[in-house]
Amino acid sequence: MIRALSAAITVAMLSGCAGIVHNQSMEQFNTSFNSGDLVAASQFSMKEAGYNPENKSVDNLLWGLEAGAVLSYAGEYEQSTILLDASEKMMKSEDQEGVVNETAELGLSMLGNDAMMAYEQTQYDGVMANTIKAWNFMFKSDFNDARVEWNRAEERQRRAVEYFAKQIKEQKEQLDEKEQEAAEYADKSAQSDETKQLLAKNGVTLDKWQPYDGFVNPYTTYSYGLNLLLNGKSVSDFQKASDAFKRVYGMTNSKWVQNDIELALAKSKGNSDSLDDMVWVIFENGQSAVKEEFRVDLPVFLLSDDVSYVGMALPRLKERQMAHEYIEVGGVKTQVIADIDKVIGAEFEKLYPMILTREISRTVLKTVVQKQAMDSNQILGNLLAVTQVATTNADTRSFTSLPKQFQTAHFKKKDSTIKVKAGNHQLDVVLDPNAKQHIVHVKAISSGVAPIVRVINI
Amino acid sequence: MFKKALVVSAAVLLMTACQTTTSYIDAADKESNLVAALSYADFKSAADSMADELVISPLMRHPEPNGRYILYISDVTNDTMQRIDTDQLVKSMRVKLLNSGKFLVTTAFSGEDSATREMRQLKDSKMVKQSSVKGDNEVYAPDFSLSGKIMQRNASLDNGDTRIEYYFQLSMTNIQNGLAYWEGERVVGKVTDGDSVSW
Repeated sequence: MIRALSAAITVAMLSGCAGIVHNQSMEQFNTSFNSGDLVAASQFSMKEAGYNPENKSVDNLLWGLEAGAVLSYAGEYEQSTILLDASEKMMKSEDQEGVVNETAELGLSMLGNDAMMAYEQTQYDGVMANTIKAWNFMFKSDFNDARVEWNRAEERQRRAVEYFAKQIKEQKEQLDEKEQEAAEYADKSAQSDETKQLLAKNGVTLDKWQPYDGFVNPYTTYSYGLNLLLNGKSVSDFQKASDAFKRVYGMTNSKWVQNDIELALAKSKGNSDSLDDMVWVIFENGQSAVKEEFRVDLPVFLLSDDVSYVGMALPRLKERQMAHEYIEVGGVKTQVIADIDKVIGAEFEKLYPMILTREISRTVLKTVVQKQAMDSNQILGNLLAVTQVATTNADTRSFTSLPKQFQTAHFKKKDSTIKVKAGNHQLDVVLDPNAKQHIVHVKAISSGVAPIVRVINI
Repeated sequence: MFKKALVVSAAVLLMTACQTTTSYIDAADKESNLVAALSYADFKSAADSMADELVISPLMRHPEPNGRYILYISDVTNDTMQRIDTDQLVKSMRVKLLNSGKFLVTTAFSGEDSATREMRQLKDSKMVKQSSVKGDNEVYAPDFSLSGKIMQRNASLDNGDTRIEYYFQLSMTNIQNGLAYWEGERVVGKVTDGDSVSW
């Protein structure tokens, strides 16, 4: 009995800590990031990632991704790529984790919470890791390695559709195998109208964010096409660029993308002058949605048909602000080509039923154990009740340093200095007069922080 | 005590058994130590067979009895998901083509060896014996240009595995008339576990 008690308390301490430590670190990171102090934010995230410069590895995947993103924003492209490469290695280990490990991890988390499990990357985490790396190479004018990363990002997008079908099936099977009876009751709870209403009342949506066609992140596909348009070497490259733009146009109806299709088609027909003096603008706008915890009493069936209302902690999405509705560069206004909240929201909603069923199963398990203990020993029962409260935490970990939206525009330059207007911020940007084409990449974290502008001269 | 020692030695034994000791392998062996990425074995086999094809191609035979065509190595695009150096393919071919005695490769124009250009600047050096400095009108312009692409296409199989196809595509263009006199394609297919990405 004492052994069971100490095990329960250890799990409680571990799981309670997991969530709290991450949230505290996140708060510290956000303080630097939100104020535009990218040096402090990147140093902090590298430390949290457990970055080892000797073997170029990280031991925390999520912080590795944050560090990779922030280093890129800070212009530390090589370091960013190293961190993201290391994060990709961790993603691969996570993908290849054996069933035994996964089941053990899930089993242990049933006594605690989801935040105890190793962070498993979302599909968009992987796609964005490759996308950021590709841009890192673009900023260094290494268009060959950029192309490799675009290919990787597109491959991840191809795999995403299969992932959703497979993952949902697998995790459901895991739960079913674990506790047949509990799973049945948990499903009943999760699917009840009352649960759905209570969740909706607490801001949980299950069909608000319809995914982009084929779970595509249009920013990645657009950037892939833009690289081929500007650095392509053959007719097939320009045709691929036009196909990529067509997909993005189908999702966004942006007039700029419609024009990009025409430019790619002209290039594929051998019109080599059509892109001379062109400037493309990419605008990373604001901050993406993040997860936050809420607590709610949901109806559960404690292995019988009698309903009890038990408190549990669940995640929900919290949208953050865009920095500016649009920016104006060289006299033209940018338009949205990718809503990252939609990408995040669609994946979150797709996986939400699984998160919910797991949390209900866990609550049932903990409550039943606690009630049984209470019947045999009141002190133990009370201790377990305290443990249950302490372990009830939602997993709110997510890749937070992404923008809310991506926008684009393009124009023909009239001279080598162009004006960037972002809200109250105005900047003069100098383009290399010897280059034929340019990409002006603008990132604005918030309206109050001056935008970061980077130029690629091709 | 004895029990503990036994457990420790068994654990040590197991750990040692799991360690891979470093050993030499045949890098061109296509039967063992296989990887999903492109390896030397893949490059070697594609390069060798394409070089063989080039050497015997009737259109690539120089009209002079002992004449040799001069090749310029143009761009070979890496359109894969691996960070590879496309020289891994081209270098093997160059070696074979040069050894065939039917081709020469110029390194003077692609920045590969800037000495051809730089050493001509010695004509102003007091230190250098001027009769040994290479003069103007001596460097040969190329006859043909070799260009191409290495592509990768991945597809998922019904059992969840990933089928990977690598395409090595090369063209030999006659610089005089812009026509391709030889083209070659080799495809390397591999199947790997589909749980994760192939890089």
